Amino acid sequence: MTFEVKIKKWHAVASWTWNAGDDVCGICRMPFDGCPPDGKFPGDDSPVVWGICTHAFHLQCINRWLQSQAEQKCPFCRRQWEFKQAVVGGEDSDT
Amino acid sequence: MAAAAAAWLSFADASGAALAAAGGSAATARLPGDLAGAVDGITAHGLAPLVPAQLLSAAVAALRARVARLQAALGPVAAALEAAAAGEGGEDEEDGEQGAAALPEELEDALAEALREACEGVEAATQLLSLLCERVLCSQPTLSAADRAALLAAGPRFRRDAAAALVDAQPGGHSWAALLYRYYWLKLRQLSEAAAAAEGEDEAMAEDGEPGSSSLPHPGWGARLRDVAAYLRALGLEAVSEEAFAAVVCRHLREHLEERTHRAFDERILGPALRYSASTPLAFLRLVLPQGTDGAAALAAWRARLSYYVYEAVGGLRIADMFDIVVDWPDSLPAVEDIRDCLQNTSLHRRFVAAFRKSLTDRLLRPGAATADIIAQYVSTIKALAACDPSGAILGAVSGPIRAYLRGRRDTIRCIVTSLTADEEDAAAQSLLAELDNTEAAAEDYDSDFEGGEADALALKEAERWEPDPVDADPSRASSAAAAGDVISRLVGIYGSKELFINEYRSMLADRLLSKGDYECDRELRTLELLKVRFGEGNLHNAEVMLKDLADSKRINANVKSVPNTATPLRRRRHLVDINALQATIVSHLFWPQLPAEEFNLPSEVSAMLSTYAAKYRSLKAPRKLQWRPWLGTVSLDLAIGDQMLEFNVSPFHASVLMHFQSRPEWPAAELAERMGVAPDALRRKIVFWINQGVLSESRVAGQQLVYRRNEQLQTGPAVAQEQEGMELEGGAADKHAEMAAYEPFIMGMLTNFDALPLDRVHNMLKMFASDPPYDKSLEQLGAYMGRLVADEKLSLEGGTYRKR
Repeated sequence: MTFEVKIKKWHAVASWTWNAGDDVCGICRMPFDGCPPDGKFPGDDSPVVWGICTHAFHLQCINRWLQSQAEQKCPFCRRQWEFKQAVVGGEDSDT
Repeated sequence: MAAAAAAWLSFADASGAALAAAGGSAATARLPGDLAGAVDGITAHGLAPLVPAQLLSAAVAALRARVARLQAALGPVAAALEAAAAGEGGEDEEDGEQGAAALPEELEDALAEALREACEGVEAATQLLSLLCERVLCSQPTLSAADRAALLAAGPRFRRDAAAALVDAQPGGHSWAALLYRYYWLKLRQLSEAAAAAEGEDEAMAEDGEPGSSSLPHPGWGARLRDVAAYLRALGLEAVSEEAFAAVVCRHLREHLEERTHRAFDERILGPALRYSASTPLAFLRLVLPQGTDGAAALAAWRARLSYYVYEAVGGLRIADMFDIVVDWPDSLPAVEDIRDCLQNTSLHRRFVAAFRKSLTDRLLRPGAATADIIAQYVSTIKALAACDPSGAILGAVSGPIRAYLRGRRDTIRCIVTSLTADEEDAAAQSLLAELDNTEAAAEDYDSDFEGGEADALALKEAERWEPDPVDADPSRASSAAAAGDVISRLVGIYGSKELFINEYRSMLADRLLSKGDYECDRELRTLELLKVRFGEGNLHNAEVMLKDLADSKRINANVKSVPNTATPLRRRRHLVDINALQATIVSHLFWPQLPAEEFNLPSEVSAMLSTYAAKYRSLKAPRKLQWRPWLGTVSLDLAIGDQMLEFNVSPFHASVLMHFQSRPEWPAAELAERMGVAPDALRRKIVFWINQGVLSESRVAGQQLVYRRNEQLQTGPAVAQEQEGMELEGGAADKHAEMAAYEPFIMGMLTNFDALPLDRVHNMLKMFASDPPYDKSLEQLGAYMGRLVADEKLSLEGGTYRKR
């Protein structure tokens, strides 16, 4: 006797995260997975960036900070700010 | 002395006889010679001061006799009228086929004649009296001022006494009021019947409301009525007469209106009623009121009185039917317009409010009525009242009970939101959606807590539009004129805050979006755009992000699918599987209602697909990654069982359960639950679905554990009570509020100390100070709870700050 299940379409639901912890951006105090005050949409429109010092901020926030400062330093640790290159697919996650 | 007495006696005799006889012929302008002599005789003896009293008593005595004659003369008339009135009572039942009972002409003539006689008698006596007094005055210029005044006043005084005596008279054993009432009633009926008969012949007459003489029953008809009315006036019976014909005219109008209103709401009755009041009743009044300028003024006053009476009567009739008028809205627009005009011209507002409120409470606000019906009736009420009372004061007064009642129903918000977001087929929803579309009354009417800068401009605009409430508006209610016709803001305002509404909208939107098998959300987008216009973009930002997530998901899904399995960065290439059957909605979780975070173990083939998908996503979007929400989503599958092929659209959990039975025909419940990572109870609740479908069966041998077994053939057995389908995204509102209630003392204490606080400060202080239980709620949850406290009237919300009541 047959008993066969054929999945035609599996419509799943997922949420995304910047994988930056459950924390908030140190500049705007908004969650990384949300958007900074002047951003309208989260995600692609409100990217999160890391410095080589491993501190993370919303791109908009750190850009504004850097523009307002003479020296390009991380607002947290005062180390020279440099964007850390994203290692594409580097650390294959635990998914 | 004796000479004086003789003179006095002769004067008394002569004047008494003259007074008694007065009126028989035309009144004289001069005193008869013998009387003049008698007067001169007594004045010569200095008896002048005694004259007025003597004359008056003689005149009144003569009058008494005259009144007795009048009463006797009117006896037959009164009897005939009474018979006519009595006959009419029976006649009504026969539908008036005999026409109005007629007063025989000779009796009407007798009435006029008797009145004329009385009238002339009083007139002549008065005149005689005045002449006598004048004569005394002339021949005795040395009288004291008081005596002179008494002499001058004798004539008018007699007239008054005569009127008083006549009013007290009881012609034919009836009061004047009853007699005249019957008389006028008869006449008016005759007139109206004649007018009705003439109407057929002469439509134009009814149009201009000025019935010509042609509509009078017959030529002498009007003249008699006019004469009777004129004599009554002359006799000083004006008040009685007017009272009688006023009552008659009002009764006539009332009966006419009652006949004409057959509870039909689709045509106006006010216009015809006003036209009618200006035709027959006014024609009647034209006859009974005096002619000349006095009469014209009185007629004008009567015209106004009649139209007021019509407004009031029509208003009363319509008001009694208001509930049904609202039910029939918008077909009942004519009736509503009637009410509008009546309210403008009368002061029925209070009565209207009381009657309508009562019918609402009696007929609508009952446990048996469906919430959707109450909302529909409320919407119709809002629209109908906006049409009949633009100031909104009445709406404010009657909507109180409806709003209070709806506030007490738990599914109200859900009903409103459902009807706003429901599918196209639903007609009721369409009307609400159309209402949402009605942007003219949109956002600006909103109490702008959050719009900041615009608020001043809006307030100014509001101020320019302000009009005073009607005087009889209930001052305890704030004027809500601006929002009178704005259905949506009124519905939303039921709970006192739009946040609650928006939250409910968001949670329903989430339900809808997550249960979709595709990414199409045009309708949701349209609704959202309309809501944005109304509530402001800021308040609906979350919903906007949610819909954007869907659009983004569609794009990302296509991108993920196009990433080849051989793409270099995907190190675990050997684990990658075909993901054509998989598609995903990827949400920005902070902007959605709380999504269930707990997981269950998906079948390995599915989790392989998911991790492949996630890996490809990561290769596109690093450093972002996906977190699956296995409970959410939908699965469409084909099930081949026995020789049958079945198609299902089910939740991922149901699909997973079924897949486990592919490899094994039976599973002990505990084992399957462990395999799936859920509690056996939870599993049972879900698996019942498949048992009811006849796909699986359960069996429990005594002392042994529960076993689920797949059926080799589809079985149709008795259904087992099924769990509530659909995963609730958030716990019921009541549970959440129960959780929040633990913080109520904190909130109350805070507001006692600080007087007024905005939401975010309450939130922050709770975070800082509330430790038992620790505060772990979101700002939205707190906002919803505070909204609830506002609705419960424990707090008030003004300009974005909460205070204690």
